[in-house]
Amino acid sequence: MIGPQASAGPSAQFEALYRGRYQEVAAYVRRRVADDAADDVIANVFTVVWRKLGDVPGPPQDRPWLFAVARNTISDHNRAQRRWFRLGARLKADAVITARPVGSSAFRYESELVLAAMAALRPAEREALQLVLWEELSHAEAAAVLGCTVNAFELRYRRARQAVRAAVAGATAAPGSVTGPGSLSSIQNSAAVGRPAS
Amino acid sequence: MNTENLIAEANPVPLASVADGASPHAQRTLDRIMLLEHGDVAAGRGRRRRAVHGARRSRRAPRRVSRVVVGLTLSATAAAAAALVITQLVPVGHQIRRNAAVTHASTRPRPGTLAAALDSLSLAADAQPVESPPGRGQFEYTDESSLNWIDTYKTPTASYNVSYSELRQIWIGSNGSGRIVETYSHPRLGTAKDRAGWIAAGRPSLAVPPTDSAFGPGQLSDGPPNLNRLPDNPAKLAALLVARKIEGGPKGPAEDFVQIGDMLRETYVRPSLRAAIFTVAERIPGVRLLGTVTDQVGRSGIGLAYLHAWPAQGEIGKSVLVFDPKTSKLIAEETLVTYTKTGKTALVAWTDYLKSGVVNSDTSTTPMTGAGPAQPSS
Repeated sequence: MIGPQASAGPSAQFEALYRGRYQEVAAYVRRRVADDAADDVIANVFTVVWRKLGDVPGPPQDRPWLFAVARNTISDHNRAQRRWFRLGARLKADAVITARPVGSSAFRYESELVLAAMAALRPAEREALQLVLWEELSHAEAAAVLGCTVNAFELRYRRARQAVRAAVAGATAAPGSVTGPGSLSSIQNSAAVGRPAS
Repeated sequence: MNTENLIAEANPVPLASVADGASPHAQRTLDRIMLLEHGDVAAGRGRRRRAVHGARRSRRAPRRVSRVVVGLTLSATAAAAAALVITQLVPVGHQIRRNAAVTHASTRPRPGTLAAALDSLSLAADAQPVESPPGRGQFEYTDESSLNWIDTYKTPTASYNVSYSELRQIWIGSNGSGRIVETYSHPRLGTAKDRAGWIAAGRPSLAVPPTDSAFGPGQLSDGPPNLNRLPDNPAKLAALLVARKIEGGPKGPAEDFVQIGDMLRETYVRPSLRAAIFTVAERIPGVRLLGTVTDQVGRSGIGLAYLHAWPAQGEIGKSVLVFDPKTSKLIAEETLVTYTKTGKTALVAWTDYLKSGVVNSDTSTTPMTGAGPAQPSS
């Protein structure tokens, strides 16, 4: 057989980790990758986990470790997609959101404003918000995922939060500027303008 | 609502909307990973061990020349039909050797032996005498045995696929001219459906007469690529390979592995370059060492494999290259497919390279220098 030694230990360890963390990893991936590629990316994440099983820290440190693997796997996926399609511009998958928000239509609209603002952030700043507010990591855990210090993370996080706040406030305050989803590009521009220089 | 709450609420994929680790969807992904990585299906389904045996479709014909000539004998329909056949299609004459391959494939390599094996092949390659590419009036000659398929279509109900053991001799001149002599034996109808189609067609003879075809300049190939212009530096060589500057084709490690096979199939590549190619092979993600394997004609060699996941088809393909450990020459290729739904594996394509080298005419079968691995090395 191909692959690591077929002993009950590693397999059982991997299966426990897989079953325990699948949902969180799958959600992380599905927030960032188009639906048609998500299953492949999720499988790739756990394939890496299987190959590096000895490196996986025990809970709860395994969560940020897994998200870091997922983040790298998604980066690889996006690079491959760019090469494959030879796109000069950013792929849709590279923008934050590939899935649509849930909830009522009124709420979806409000969320659209936020998502549009987040899409205009720098990737590292956007990821800072997502790791804390969507993946529910602590700031220290999120810093570990991004490979930066907690201080650097705090800076990114505050900048990102401020940019989203400014973009949403600007969009809703401008008379007649936002009347529906068709105005999202203006929201993105607002977010870009509102982003602090760094 | 503050900004953080707004962002949290805008989460497009709430955790509760995603299947959990106990869901059938998660189980299918787990099975896929374990089949790829472990050669087994995960716990929770009884740990069914699956022998790697049999064979099937190749996404790409295993021989460089076959890209030119494959249309002479194989149709796309045959290839598609071949995808549906399973282990019973392997000729009876190969049954024992196939089982032997099971034994070898079941012996899991120790960690790190891929590097050791490729280092060994690299050293063996570097120690070989220099071989020159075919010059003017000369030919690259290859004598090979393979599993081949022929599709016959009369009506939708009177159609069938037949596998044959094919012996093929190829002479490729430096100007792209050449000759191909093919002999078919051991015809076998693929499935019950093929047999029914054959009966409906009136039970025609399955015998295929030998062919002997001559090709003018440029008709057989564009001529052997000048691989000797490539650098010996593995890093530079890898960069050219990945950038598809050596040979066109899609991106990705699967194609890298195919092109490594293409380069090592050329007998006239200088030893230092062959050594570098093995070093590059070590860097391709996903390349596996199978250990010592036996090809369809009973020769032992070092087997390398690359696994391809084809989720849309519910299949996992395995491309295998077998090298003579003493000379580093490519002696065989195989393609196997595992059907993730059933767990069955089938050998869908194989080619054994019996003899290769540069000859002086398109009737000569005796290479001038560096005859290929006609004799088993072990």
